[in-house]
Amino acid sequence: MDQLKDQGKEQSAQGKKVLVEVEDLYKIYKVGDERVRALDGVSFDIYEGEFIAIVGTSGSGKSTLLNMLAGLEPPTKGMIKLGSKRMDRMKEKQLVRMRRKHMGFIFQSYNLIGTMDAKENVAMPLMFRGVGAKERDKRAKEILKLMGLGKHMKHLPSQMSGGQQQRVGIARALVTNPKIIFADEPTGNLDSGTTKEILTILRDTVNKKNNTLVMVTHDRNLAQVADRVIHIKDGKIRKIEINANKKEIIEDEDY
Amino acid sequence: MKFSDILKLSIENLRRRKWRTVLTVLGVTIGTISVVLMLSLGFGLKETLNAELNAGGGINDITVSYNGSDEDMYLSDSRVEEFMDLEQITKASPKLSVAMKVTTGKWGTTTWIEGVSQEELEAIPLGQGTCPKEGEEFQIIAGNMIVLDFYDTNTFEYPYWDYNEIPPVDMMNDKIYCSMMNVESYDGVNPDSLYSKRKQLKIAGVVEGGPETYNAYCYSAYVEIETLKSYLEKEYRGKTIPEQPTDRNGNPYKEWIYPSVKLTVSDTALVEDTVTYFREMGYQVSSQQEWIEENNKVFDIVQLVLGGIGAVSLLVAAIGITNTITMSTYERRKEIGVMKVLGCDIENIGAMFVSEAGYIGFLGGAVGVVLSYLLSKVVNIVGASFMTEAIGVAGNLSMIPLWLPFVAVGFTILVGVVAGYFPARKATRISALAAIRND
Ligand SMILES: Nc1ncnc2c1ncn2[C@@H]1O[C@H](COP(=O)(O)OP(=O)(O)OP(=O)(O)O)[C@@H](O)[C@H]1O
Ligand SMILES: [Mg+2]
Repeated sequence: MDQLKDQGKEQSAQGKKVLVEVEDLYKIYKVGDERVRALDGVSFDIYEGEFIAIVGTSGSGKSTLLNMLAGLEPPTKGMIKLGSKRMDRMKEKQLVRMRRKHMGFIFQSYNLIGTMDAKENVAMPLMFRGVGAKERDKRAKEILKLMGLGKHMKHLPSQMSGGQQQRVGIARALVTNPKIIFADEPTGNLDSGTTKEILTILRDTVNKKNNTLVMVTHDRNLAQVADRVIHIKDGKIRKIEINANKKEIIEDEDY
Repeated sequence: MKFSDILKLSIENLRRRKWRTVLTVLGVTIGTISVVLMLSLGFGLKETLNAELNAGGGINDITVSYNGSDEDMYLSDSRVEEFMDLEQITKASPKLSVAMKVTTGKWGTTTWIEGVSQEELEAIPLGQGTCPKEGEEFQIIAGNMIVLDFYDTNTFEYPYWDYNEIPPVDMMNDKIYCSMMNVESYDGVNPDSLYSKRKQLKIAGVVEGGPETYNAYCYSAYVEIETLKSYLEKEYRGKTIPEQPTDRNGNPYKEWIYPSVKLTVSDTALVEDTVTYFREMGYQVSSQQEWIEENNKVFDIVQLVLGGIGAVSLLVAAIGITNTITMSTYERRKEIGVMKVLGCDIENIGAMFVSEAGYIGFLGGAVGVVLSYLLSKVVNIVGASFMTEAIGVAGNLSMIPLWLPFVAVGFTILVGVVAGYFPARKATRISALAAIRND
């Protein structure tokens, strides 16, 4: 484990800035008398402007880890630091504030508000920040056009395909230009063609805008789009893979 | 998050569930109507009766009565003069009343004859005849309901009280006789011997209104007090005048002694102190002002009870609001979760639901107030006959003061906010993970 952590630290020596620091993170659920170790001592760093994928089989603890990074769930033990702030020590109110100011979130099932059209959905995080209606409108339109949804601004979620909805979801996550974006299985409900399209958008965003992106997926092939891939099993990190040239196909692993 | 955005979202959400919103608003509307109408009855009754009491003037008048025990306290002519010497007393009119028997044909009755000042006499509204001038011969103004009390002097049957028939007596045009009570001529057997010889009685006028219309002057007969005094002095020359006290030896006093005196106080603000002054002297004192205050106290209680009854339906409406908002928070669990994940402040989430509830309260209150005005008009039309028949005063049964609609709407908004507070607080506790779990 220490060795894995060192593998993470190594890169900071190469001049990248650490954005998130995770150390010795545990999440233990009590189900009846049984204890489920969803996260069993996890340590790693996330650097600014990198695309990280978290892969593992179902039930391995990927979502648990992501939720904890986004401050949606408190860890049982361990440290999560965003910049210089200790997320594990924050109350819910502060965590909400952190998300509002620094984070974006992309859901597997899009989670658009059904009664709002595409533009209103995208503008919502700006509304939470107290941005005026005019300014919100302008920025939502801009980003929707960028996502190729210029003709769908006034469409309700029920009037759009899954791929279109997810692009609205991405637009919503990007509209505030957050430091870090979390995505839990963003292509989980999409066909392979649309999946590719969405992943390309995500990859381009990180390349162009230098946001940091953490994506959870169970598909090792999809994970290859990321700069680094964290392999997780039974709540433990098994391997951190660096995709320097992003073209390698995953090898057969022994786990 | 801007307050205007919170309001916009709440209104949007209410619109989303039109039916439920309409029904909940309807509950508040009914609650508002019942409270406003109930209160308006209290205001209407109070206003109408006060107006009636004030219309008769007398807000500056107090009535000082003999306490019935202390000779030194007799309200004699000289005592009344003493009262007049007080700075704040501008007028003193003593009261005198005697009973007399009135007959016409076989019909007879006993009525009170009241001696009042000429001014008061002239203030009595007349239905027939004219008011006697000062210094004219003895003639009376008869109350419009005296007619009802005539009985058949042969059978002692009362047509009105026994058979609900109005006795066929025309006070104005029939030949009416009167006889005064004379205790000294009473032989102890024949009740007729109690009365002096009958004389023709001149009726100058009859008080306004039919024989069944109640008013302040309907039951007695009235005459100018000095005229009454000289009539009685003539009638009872050398004898004791009824109702006049005698000294220890059974002899009448030299002066007239009155059961009560009406005093007019120069300034309304001095009435209360003057009442206290005479009370401390040992007199019984009543004033229009006190009477109005007492009345208002009673109506305040009536109003409180009525308002309380109305408030029950508003309470039910408040529970309706709580229920609606609770439902709304359950339905929108996922949405609330998503908002939290996207960084919506916890307070803002609470504020959304509270303002939804407040908005329901506002709508219900506003519609309720408008309908209350309409219903108040209906109540006044339907209640007009009730007012004149049961209370004897013409006026509005229901009255909505100008400030009431504003207070009512403010209150329903408050009711909504309070009713929405607890479900809203629960909504803020919904976990952000609700957004992620697929349930
Ligand atoms: N609220 C909870 N209460 C109890 N156990 C939980 C809870 N949430 C997750 N777990 C358990 O923790 C472990 C990790 O769950 P997690 O959702 O992180 O898996 P995952 O890697 O995201 O899987 P999937 O690919 O199926 O989404 C699982 O064994 C799961 O049963
Ligand atoms: Mg998962």
